[in-house]
Amino acid sequence: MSDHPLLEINDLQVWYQTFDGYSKVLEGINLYVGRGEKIGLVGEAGCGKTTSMRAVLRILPEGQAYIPQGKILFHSQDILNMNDRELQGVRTKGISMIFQEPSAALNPVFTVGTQITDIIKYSESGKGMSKSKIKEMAIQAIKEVMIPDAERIFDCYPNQLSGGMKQRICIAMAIVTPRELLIADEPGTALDVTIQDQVHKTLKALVEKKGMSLIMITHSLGVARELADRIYVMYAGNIVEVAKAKELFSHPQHPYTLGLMASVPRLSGGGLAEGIYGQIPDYLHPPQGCRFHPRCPQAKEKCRLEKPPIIDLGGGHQVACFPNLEV
Amino acid sequence: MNTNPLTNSEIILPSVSYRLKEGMRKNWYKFSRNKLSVIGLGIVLAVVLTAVFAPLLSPYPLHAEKFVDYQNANLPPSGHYFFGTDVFGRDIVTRIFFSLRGALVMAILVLSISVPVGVFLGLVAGYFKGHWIETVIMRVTDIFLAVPPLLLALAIAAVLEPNLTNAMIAVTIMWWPWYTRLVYGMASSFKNEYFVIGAELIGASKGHILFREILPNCLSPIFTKMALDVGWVILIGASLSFVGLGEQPPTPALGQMVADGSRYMPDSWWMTIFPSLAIVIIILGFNLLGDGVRDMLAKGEKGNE
Amino acid sequence: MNDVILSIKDLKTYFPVHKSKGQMVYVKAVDQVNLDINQGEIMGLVGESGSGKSTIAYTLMGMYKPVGGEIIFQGQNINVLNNKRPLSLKKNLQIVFQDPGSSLNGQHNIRQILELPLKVHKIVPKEELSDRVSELLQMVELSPAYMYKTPGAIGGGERQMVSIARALACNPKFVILDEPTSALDVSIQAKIINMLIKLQQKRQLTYLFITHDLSLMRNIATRVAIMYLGKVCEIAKTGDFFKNPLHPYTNMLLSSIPVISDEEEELRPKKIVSSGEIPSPVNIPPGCSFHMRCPLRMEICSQIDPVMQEMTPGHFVRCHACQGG
Repeated sequence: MSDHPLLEINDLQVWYQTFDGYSKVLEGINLYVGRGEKIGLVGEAGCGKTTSMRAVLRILPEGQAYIPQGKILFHSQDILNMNDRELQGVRTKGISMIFQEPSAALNPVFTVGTQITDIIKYSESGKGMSKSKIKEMAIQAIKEVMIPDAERIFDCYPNQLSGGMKQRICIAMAIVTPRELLIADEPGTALDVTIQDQVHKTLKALVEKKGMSLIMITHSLGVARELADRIYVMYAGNIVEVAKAKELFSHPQHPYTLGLMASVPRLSGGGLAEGIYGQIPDYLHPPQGCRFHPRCPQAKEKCRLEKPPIIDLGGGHQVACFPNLEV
Repeated sequence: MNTNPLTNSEIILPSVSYRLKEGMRKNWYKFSRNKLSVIGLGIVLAVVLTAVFAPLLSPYPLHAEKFVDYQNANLPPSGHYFFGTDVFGRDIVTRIFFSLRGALVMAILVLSISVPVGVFLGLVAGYFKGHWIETVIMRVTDIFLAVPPLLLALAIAAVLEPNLTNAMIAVTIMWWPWYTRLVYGMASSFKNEYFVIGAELIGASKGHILFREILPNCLSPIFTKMALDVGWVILIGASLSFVGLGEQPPTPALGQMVADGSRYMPDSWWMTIFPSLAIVIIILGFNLLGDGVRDMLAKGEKGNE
Repeated sequence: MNDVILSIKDLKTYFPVHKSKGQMVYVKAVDQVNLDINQGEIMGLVGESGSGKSTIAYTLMGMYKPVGGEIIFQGQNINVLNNKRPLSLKKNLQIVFQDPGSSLNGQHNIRQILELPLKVHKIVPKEELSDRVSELLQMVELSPAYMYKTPGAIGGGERQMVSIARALACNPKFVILDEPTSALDVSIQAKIINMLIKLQQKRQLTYLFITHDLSLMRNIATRVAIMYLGKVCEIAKTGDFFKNPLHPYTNMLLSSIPVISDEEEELRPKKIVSSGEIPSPVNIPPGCSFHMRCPLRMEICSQIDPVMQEMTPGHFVRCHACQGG
């Protein structure tokens, strides 16, 4: 990476207020994305990956979510301290996000064309543009996400489109005005596997063509392997391991990563591993020390008492674990 | 199985009283988040306690029965008579307190009959959607709902002899269809839920499905509506007694007091204003309580379970 | 053993959608499906949305009435709706649904949920109900402390385990599992699948396991059938299916699944990449329903619907290109 990374999350903590006290979901995560880099954020349900990305765009539920500490630096400016105008600038020119359920992200009473042109109209680059130019840009965006017959689709309503097409329209909406970073929150999960494959390929090609950075949130290691240059593995509000994609799959270190990889059913057969004992911790009363220790097959006394350090294994590969592993 | 050398798991079965207490604590938290609901609860409790302990709380308990005192008639509010006296010299505070009894009794009896009947019919109609029984129930319900409620109550009460019992019968008859419609919508959508289908596939009887699977899931809107309805029944009851079709004199009734006093407006304003205010406050109290009940029973909030 | 426990013959389940020009238009969710399932095997049924795999499951359970065809279970034709089926049939044929959130009644606690099948089929006398519920919980590796929890208070994986315990409570012979782990994380999935396999072996059950995840199928099923738009495309023993996939749709599906190791990459067919959309099940194109997306399509594919043929023993495929025109 040349200079500063595009997005840098430093020691971010996020708590949710509940009836029984604070639910301490994120325990201080560190993450960065360089320009043009594709990151995978892998974790299972409830690990906090969606929470962390929503914190980036500051769309956490107000009144319930509380950020006791942490910085989110976009172009070295802290998003958490921005005023409304600066934040608006980030949301319209810097970062865009696509979500898991395309039907929920699209307004059913407007045509998809209207929804795309609205984005252009209210962006800075769209001010003063003629209507026809805006429409041209929108149709171009629809073409870029590999939807055939773009002019006809422009006038369609979301309910006339299939799930895969809706998700592609969401991608189009996210890239129609120039952006630097796209955050994709499990975009293929609600889709069939063949369609998911196509959407992922489209996303990857588009992001590479435009030189955008990508953060891909997913629970599937396979998807991360296909799309990402570097992968962060998250568990219970902590980043437990980060490495370049190839390195992670050839030399996984963290016991959670190992357990996760073992649980994935293999196309080569051979039966399934036993899975990972236990379940994700209760964030109201999280375990002391390492949050994974109650489930860890290699846990020692130290793990229960202290937070694990971040060990640097070189080449961008880091593990949050005590150095007592046999591998 | 991967074994963890560090944790020991203990099995604790929670006792019934613990579960109840936890449940109550959580419900109170949800209810009391909105201060207005607590005010509503306060008003309702005050109304209920006043009604129950009316003879003890009223300054002149005898004024609620056959009583005249023309010397003290038409007196404005004073230290002796906080809300003044009516044309017969009866203390208005006392009469309001005692009128609450009839109002609450009416609400309780009307709801305890109309709610079970309405809910049962709604469950059956919703679950057997498409069947002729659904058509029959819902069309009858529609007929009842098509008539303006107050008109229906008036018509029935006018046909029967005017007294509290017949007023209650009239209101009960016009009240059940609202619950049928409410439950019908819910039952017909729950019918397609997987847990209901699952119970059918296991072989559960229709009774089990209606009352043990579907009904528990309908209770929140039913209870919310009941809380609000107490106020509305009281209002309809007051409307009936306003035209003389409820409690007969000398037993006090709020609507009757409003009607009687209206002839003397605006000079003896206290004879109408205070009973009207009483009605307003009661309805307000139950409405706020109903909001609180809805918040308490509402599901699906983040951070609650 | 090669006893056929469930035989599906020419099953058709159509749903009326609307009338067009005086003719009723149907969604042909299941269109002439033939499948024989043997006692003691785990039959895998793979397909994407619109394939009809869930519809078959629900038709077998009697939730939908088929328009044509027969379902023969343990020698008897059970082609009636669920509410007309005898209790003994309901006891022997059970299903586990996909969504752990909605398949359990949120107002009941686990004990009530598990007691229901025990009470309905009178499995044990009243005094022993509580003990039997404990046993069921331990069978799915949950502690008896779960008895008084409500579904909302436990995680998705545990809810699914309760659903499985409920399905097995009345000792059925045949269990349909409709994507039981699709809504769950991979680590929980592994636990549940292993438990399902153990239970199947111990109780000699027969499973119909439905999923869209071919990698999972590879590790659990004994035989696999793949469906597309209401018709079966290919049936084979698991080993043959994955070593030698014949149907182009099978190959397309295999090439789309994300894998996590290079050796698995090698196993994926390279030549066929997914393309096109799944057509709407109302407007199924004439001829072979897959021909619009098929890279191997020939002239005949848009005209005549292919029939199922046995290419090698136990390996059936329905495709003109595979059958040599």
